Amino acid sequence: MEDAAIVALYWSRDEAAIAETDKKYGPYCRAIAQNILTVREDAEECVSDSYHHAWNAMPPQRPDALPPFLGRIVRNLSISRWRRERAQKRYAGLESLLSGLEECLPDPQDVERAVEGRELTHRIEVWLESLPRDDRAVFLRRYWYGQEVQALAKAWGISPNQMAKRLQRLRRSLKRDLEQEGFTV
Amino acid sequence: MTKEMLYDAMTEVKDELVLDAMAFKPVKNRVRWMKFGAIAAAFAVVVGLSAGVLSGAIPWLIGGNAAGGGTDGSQVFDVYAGPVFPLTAVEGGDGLTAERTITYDFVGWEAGFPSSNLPVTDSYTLTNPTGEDKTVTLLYPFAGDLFAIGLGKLRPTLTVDGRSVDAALLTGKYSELGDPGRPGGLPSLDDPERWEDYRELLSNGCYQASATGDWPDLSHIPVTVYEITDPWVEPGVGNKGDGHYNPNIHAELELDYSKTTVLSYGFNSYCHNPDGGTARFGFDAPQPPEEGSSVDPDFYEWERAQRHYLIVMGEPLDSFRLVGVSTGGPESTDYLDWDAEIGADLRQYETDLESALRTAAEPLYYGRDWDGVADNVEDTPEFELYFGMLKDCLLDAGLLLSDPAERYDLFYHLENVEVWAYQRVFYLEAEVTVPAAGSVTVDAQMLKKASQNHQCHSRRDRDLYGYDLVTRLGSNLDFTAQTARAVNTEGVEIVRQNFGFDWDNGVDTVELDLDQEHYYLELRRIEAK
Repeated sequence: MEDAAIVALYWSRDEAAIAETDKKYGPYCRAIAQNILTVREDAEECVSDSYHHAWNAMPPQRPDALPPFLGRIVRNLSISRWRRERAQKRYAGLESLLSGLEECLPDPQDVERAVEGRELTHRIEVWLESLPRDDRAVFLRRYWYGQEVQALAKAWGISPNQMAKRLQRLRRSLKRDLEQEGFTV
Repeated sequence: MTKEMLYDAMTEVKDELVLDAMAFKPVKNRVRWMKFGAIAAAFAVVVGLSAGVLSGAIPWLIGGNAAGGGTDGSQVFDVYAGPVFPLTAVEGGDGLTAERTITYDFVGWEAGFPSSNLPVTDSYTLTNPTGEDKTVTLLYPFAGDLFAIGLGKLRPTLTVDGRSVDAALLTGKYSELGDPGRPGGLPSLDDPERWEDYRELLSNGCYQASATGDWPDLSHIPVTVYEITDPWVEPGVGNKGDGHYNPNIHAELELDYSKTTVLSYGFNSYCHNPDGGTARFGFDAPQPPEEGSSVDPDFYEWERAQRHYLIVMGEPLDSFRLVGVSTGGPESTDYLDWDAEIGADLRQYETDLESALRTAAEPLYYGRDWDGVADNVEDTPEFELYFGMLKDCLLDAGLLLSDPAERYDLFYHLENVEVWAYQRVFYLEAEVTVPAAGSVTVDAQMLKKASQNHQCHSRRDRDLYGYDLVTRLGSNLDFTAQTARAVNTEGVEIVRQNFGFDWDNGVDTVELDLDQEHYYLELRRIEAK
């Protein structure tokens, strides 16, 4: 079923929307949840929850593309779960992602500047667009989709070690970019 | 700002970037998997991946699995680690007999620590019934990838009568198996998926025979090398404040694609136009960290110290020039003033392909890690193995063929001709003397990697560890018996097997049928009650 037809089901409050979403994007959502949370049962719950969030979000929202829309919900629910349960559980995938992103954080500087989420997103978009497409795909597959370094290395046909170094170079580049733009802690 | 804020900000990046990341098709070396067959299936999986994912037809990002799908009832694992192979002899083995005992040690499993790297001892008693001593060159084959074994992990050790022997590490040469540069479209699956793939590789003996020969010598092929060093850029030059600032140094080439082949090292972007006879290779110009920046100044110095190579084979280039551009796009035309705003040193010299490749292979082998591991380039056997594999890979994919139709996408960047990750068969080579009317014991001890699933459709197949062996594939030894043993099995449950183990009833040693080519053992840890 076309995405527009699935979105129309949501708008007409037809519960078949959820079944159609699961049919078409269930594997996609599960993969992201599994990559991020790594705990199978929690990933499964996260996917179920994401359908309910989608149900509540449409209407009023009418996404042009369902994959990033659903992926965002999964990512948001994943980190919410991590925040809620990190004292009891260790989500290896997300912690690995966050640990990587931590390396992108600019260090504290004298000039303080409030960081608006939207502004930060825009800066990241600008930085991503300055990259060769190949590097951009690597970075987003790792830090948006949560694909493991090993899997990326395999997809690119290089060693995990080399992929890790490539990601390190990109993280340093983002960090440098954020610092140049005055973003700080 | 926190890492969580960064995660949240990443989550909101716009749709087209997110979608494009998955639509992008990485270019990687396609060589190895073609040797293992299953070409059509492999190709179909990769070609269908992006469409299948978005249509929901394919379990996405995580490998699917067909439990119990092996031709002999064994599991088809998401990641197949390959069987344990039997010892063989390349010279002097005639008249010897061999008995084999393989022992799987599950130590640690009962305590709740199953390891995917299982201690395995593959032991052989070689008997010489003749009246003369026999000196024999043995080969012990094993499946692995250079990344794991090159660093000393998962590499078996050989002992003879309990004494360590200095065994050379070898591998087969795909470029000598014929049919280099096969047409075949996209890069695809790279690893064998089941034991039959290894049977296809090893059964005619060509791969093993090639392992003991010399690597190809490319010193007869003249090349021109363009070496770019000491790149620099004036801080902030060309920055229009629109966020697209990423100064790059590009090499712009004009060439006849039918007569010239270009290999590159140290470039991270390129574009080419075979019809127009142009190509462009680019890399980021190192920018000095601004005052107060947390970027390690050593990183900047490391970036500046990197060398960038273009190796030109065949007819000379029609033209070559270096330019600076303000953004990272390979087709950027926002030129900077060369030598005033941006620059680098260029050295052009003539040499041979062997020497030029060796120069580029050293940083490829030792890594371009800016923390300094590249300082120690030594002429180690492992490097020679890596270098030989790199040449083998290039030749196998058609580097020296006259038709450039396939090679350009593959070989613009030497970094893409990656030899580390692919699973293949290696050999340990050792010479052993078996006394007249006597025996020696040869033990191969290893940590055998398990075949595993990332995700299964069936609960029964979750958390499985698969170990298998082949009895005679690739071996010319005259086996009189083979036995399999399992020890420390208290914490281990057998899910599938064809060995005949029944350790609940004390059957932890079984005689193997030499006519049975393949044995498999699929296990899981017994959960504590």
